Amino acid sequence: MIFSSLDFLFFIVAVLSLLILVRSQIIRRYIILFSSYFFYAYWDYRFLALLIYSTIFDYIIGKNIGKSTDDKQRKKILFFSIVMNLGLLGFFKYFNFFIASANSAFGGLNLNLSTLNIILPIGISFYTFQTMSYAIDVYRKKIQPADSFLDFAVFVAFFPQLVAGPIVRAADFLPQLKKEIIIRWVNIERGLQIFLFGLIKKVLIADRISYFVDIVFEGPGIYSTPTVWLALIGYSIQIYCDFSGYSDMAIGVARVLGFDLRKNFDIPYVSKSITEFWQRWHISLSSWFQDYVFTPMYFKISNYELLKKLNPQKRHLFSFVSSIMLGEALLGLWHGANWTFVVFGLWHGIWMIIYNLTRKPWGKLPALTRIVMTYLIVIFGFVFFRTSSLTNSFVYFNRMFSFESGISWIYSPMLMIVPLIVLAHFFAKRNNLKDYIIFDLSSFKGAFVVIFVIMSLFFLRMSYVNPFIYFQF
Amino acid sequence: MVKIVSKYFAALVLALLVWNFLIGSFYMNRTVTVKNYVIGSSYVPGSKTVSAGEGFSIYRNDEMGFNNDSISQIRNEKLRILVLGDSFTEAKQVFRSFNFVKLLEQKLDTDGDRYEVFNLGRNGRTIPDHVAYAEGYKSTFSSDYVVIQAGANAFGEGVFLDSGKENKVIEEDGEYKVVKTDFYHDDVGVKKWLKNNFDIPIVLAGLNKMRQFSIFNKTEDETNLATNSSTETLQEVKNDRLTDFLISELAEKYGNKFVLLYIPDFYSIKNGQVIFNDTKDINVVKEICQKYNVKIIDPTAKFVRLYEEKKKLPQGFNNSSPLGGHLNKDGHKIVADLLYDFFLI
Repeated sequence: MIFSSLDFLFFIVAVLSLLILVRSQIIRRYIILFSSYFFYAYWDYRFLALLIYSTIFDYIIGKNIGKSTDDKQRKKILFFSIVMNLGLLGFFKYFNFFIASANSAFGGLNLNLSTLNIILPIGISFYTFQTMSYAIDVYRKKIQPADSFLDFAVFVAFFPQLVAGPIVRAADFLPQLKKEIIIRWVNIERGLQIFLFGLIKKVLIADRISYFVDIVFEGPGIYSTPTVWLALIGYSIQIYCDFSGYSDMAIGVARVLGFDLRKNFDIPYVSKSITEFWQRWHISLSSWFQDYVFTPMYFKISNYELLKKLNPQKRHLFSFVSSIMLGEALLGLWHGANWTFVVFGLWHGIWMIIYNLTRKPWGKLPALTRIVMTYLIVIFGFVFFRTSSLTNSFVYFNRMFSFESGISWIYSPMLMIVPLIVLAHFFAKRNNLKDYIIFDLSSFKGAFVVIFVIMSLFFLRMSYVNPFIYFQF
Repeated sequence: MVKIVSKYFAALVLALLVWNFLIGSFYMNRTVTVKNYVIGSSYVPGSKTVSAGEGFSIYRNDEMGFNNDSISQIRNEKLRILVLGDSFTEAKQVFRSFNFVKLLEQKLDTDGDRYEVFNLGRNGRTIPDHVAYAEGYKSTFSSDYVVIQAGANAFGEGVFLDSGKENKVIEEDGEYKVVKTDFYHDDVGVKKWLKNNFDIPIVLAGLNKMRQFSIFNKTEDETNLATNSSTETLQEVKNDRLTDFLISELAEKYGNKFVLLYIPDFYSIKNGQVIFNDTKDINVVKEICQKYNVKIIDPTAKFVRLYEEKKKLPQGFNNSSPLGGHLNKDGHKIVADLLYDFFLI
């Protein structure tokens, strides 16, 4: 069930009611756990067993790493955990991609391997990363292994962030489970408003723009150059509102239940460099890659014997470039089993390297120029992200720069939405807004805002509703 | 507690008032219709039509509930042309001055105020309606000429369509017949009562929006039961025998004082390209028209040229999609020009 559906409304009311009626803290944890399993099974009950298996597996892994005092042994157990988790992800998400790629690469040698009819379990990219980070943090002794299987299971399956993030760290979440679960009005007041904010972004903005974006991306060849540019800008707004909207809804629901999830987006389109962009966009994923992929890879590469012969500057450069390019390719691939996502990742990797090599001259450019240039780099990357093949990506780029005549479609809702998003970004930046704007719901103003927003969602909701973009990952 | 409840009640009332104003001013309102067994249903005379979902326009309907500045049953010395059709003729997607009926009247009147062209287009009208109401139109308007606009689905599955349609074709003993429905309307029970007694924008818009939630929609059985149509007839598409019957009926009812304005689906989008459809269906209609000496206007060639020369399509709008839907300003202009050329001759 998606957050913006009536089914979810009934579900959350039921969960809240149970949590209020039941007094026992243990039973309240079980309610959250089983409602999370119900939430997941509602999507596809066939893969609930996989989620439970993953939970049991990594709980045992964590226990064993924690018990062992032999570093080699701990490393072996961790390695086993990573292999199993990546194996799971690799099989369900990438098996057919690798087979198709191999067939394509070695077609001349008559290689024709068969693909399998594999369904991608929803949320697998998120919860495997979550459990892997847990095992790694236990190995690094950043956290103790979870002493309660119930708490660990809730951490893995917590329904607000289960299917599309944010990716939660055990260090942030497990301590919250040590506290009492109490439904408080102050949390409902705050959580509801954050949830509504996310819902507005998804239902009123992302879904509305997606109508335009989907049609143009389906056949960009017939549209004029301004139209394809507008559709690309539209997509940048759509994906931001869709994903950050979902994250806000997840954060809002978690807050209602009394839990804190970290912000996943921080007005990314005011970034002055591509590096800053990834500090503001899908923060839980980029920080995950920073902590568990880029940094370890950098140190691993720089410690290769061959590189130790180089001077420190060259050694750093080589290690930096390799880890960034490899890491970004993997980050791109995380999004989906398609070469377009790999190229998306490499595109960002290249610009990160360029930025790092040209920091000084880049820093001298006016702030607005840096923001615009960063935005352009990001949206060009989105062409690879959105199109279904590299051929289609190049068709799109061709249309953007060929200035051939075509059907002109200036989707009129964009004339309102683009200025709104730009203003909202600059308002938040100017006022250094780090938190959501929350109204006091016991006041007339707060009551009016919430009621008006709910009515907006009802009357302005389109019948054309897109599933959340990141569900496919 | 009482204070908070009162604040919320006041906030609710204020929000409802604000939304009622916004919907009434800018949003498509679901105008209440009036039944008329002589010339078919219309909107409430003098009511406001607001259309914002596809294109944009706001106008007031005339004294009989149609899209005209004014309309009269009384004859004068002017040449009177009636334009019958469906939503393409009703044309609520464009302001009145841009629809082909008004453009035609303006072009014909450049030589003097000698014509009156009345728009009797109504969303959902089909050929059986024009057959059934032919005597009603004659007795009510005594027009000199009639233009009957038919859309791409006019001669196939459209005539068997369900709810909202006032007349339909049935087959009895191997023969087709036009019959009246029970004037079935989409809404029943509470919804119908609310619409008839609370012509308030927010209520009507709210009812319209409820349809988007599947739990409020009629089941298939309820739909079939209400419309008395079987699913078998709904599959009938592009039936030449049916087309022949409908055109022959029009020829019989309207004689040589009418022209068929046929707006077909002339293109489709395949593999990101605009592909012009083959003309087989249009040619079938033209052949049958020739058989019954029915004059026909087909704007396809002009539509194709519009795309080839200017990369514009005659249908679609910036706030919906440029690839389909109703005629836009370019489409209305082409149709008006064609009708003008026809009447000049």
